[in-house]
Amino acid sequence: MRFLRYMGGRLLLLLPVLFGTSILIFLLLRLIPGDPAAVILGLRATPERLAIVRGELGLDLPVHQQYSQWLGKVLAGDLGKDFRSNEAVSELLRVRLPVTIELTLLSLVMAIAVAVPLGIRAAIKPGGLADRAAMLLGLFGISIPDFWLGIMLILVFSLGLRMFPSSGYARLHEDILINLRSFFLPSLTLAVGLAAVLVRVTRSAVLEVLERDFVKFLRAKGLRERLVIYQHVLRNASIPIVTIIGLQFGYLLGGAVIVEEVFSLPGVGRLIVSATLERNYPVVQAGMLVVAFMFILVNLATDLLYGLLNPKIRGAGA
Amino acid sequence: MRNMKTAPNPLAATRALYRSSRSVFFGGAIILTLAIMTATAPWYSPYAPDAMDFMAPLSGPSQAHFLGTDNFGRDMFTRVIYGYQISLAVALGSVGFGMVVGVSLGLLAGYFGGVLENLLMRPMDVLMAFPAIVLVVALTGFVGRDESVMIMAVAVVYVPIFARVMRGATLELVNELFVEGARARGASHLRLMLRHILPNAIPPVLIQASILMGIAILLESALSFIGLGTQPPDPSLGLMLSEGRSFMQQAPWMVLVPGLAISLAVLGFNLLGNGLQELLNPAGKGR
Repeated sequence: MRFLRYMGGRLLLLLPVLFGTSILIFLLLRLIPGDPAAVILGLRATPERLAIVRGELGLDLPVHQQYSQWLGKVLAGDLGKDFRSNEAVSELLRVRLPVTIELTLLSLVMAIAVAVPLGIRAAIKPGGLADRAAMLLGLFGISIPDFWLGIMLILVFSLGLRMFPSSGYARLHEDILINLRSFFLPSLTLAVGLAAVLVRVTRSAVLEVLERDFVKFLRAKGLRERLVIYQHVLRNASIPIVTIIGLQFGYLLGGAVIVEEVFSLPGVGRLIVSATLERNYPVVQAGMLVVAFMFILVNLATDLLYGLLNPKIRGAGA
Repeated sequence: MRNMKTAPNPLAATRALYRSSRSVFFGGAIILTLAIMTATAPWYSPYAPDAMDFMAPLSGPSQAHFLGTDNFGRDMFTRVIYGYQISLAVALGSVGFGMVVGVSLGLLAGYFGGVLENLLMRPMDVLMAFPAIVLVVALTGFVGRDESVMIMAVAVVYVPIFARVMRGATLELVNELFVEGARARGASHLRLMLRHILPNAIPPVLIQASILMGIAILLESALSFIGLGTQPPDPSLGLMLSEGRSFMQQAPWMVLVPGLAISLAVLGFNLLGNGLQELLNPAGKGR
């Protein structure tokens, strides 16, 4: 019951944040110079035609009216239409969102699979081989730009060794093998930066728990070292690890913009970039709102996981 | 702490720094070297950054062009050096601006607390809800694509980060005895903030600044890479990388060189930031 109330409180807090976010996105696009009507008409632009197109797009209204209209539609599930192609934005997102989600999830899995075990080993034996590997990953992983890493991977594995395709992809439900092969390099590219951060946090979190008295007690009791580490230490070290994974998800979404560009994957990131260049308000607004929404949802999930990992927080939360 | 003895000459000081933190030593050395090379580029660079050698396009490393040339026959080494100028300018500008604004906001929020704190910090939370690159892409995409816009766009991302760090540091200091003491002696709010809290809260801010300098370099090159940053023919490292993509099979150095150049600069700032953190906070070693 308490947990449900905690969850309810967290969900309610979501509303003002989303509201603020939507206003910010909207204002950002309106305050900044640039006229979508001029972009659409291009060389055919005359003052009369510009006025007509602006009217059609609803851009002649005062900003607060534009916002309330847009918000009303969004709440009713209508994200508007692409200024240029007249396609429904929701349809664009429906096609492209799965690409971005698969990319980020795969890289999340890869990063966790490498970084958490490595971080634990590094903490168990400071100065050992695993610790040195962790240090190198932690330093170089955040220093190498992801788009360059992507290019180098393409150069070596796609163009050189011909092991993976360098661009293009198949949808997950069409052919899972081709799909995974085409997602491998992009996900790896995106995973390295996250793994770098994760390995350091895991290492220091585990190190910190290892120094606590209860670990000495468990060892003195004769509990097998494996059990001490994997059942007791890891559980206690999990909160900072989970926090960082949640926080870094934003980094993954951002990195996806670049990685999609490098590997020509048709995801939301590339959609936002190209729509920004065209001043395609409805697409940018909806795309950024979705990205922010996903980010907020992940943070919420992180908070809820805390509740599960550490019962003390439930009572104090929300 | 025997290394902290006052050093009689620069050589000994350098040696002491090397002993107390190799990260700071190597990070500082990388950045210092790059900064000097960049600032003095016009005096020693063998070519102009946009000088084209039509006899030698796409030529590999040689005596004349020791990092090779690009598809227009421009000298890669020269372009890297001038590319650093843009990278460092964007990094310095955005971190400087973000730091001044963010630190002021964080100081006010942490010092006064209450309504003012909510008023200042809640919008920061909203701003932080966006992945940096998405925000920067939106800003540069709409406003325009030159250095000053990039600086402002990255600074907008940095303001909330600095504000948070500063607020945290202020909260820790505001109830310290020496602050209480100064208050009891009748120091004004302004004096308390500027003379007593700010100087003591600066170390974590500087660590953050060093790491954010590295990230700014990554952001600048990423933006230029996707076409929203520096425009041709200016030599930005990210732009060079994106131009090199079309030729990477014939001339791999066109993607190798700028990528390594970006990594080196970012590595320098990260080493410096991490090293400073370890020096100032040995307990949190490795974080």
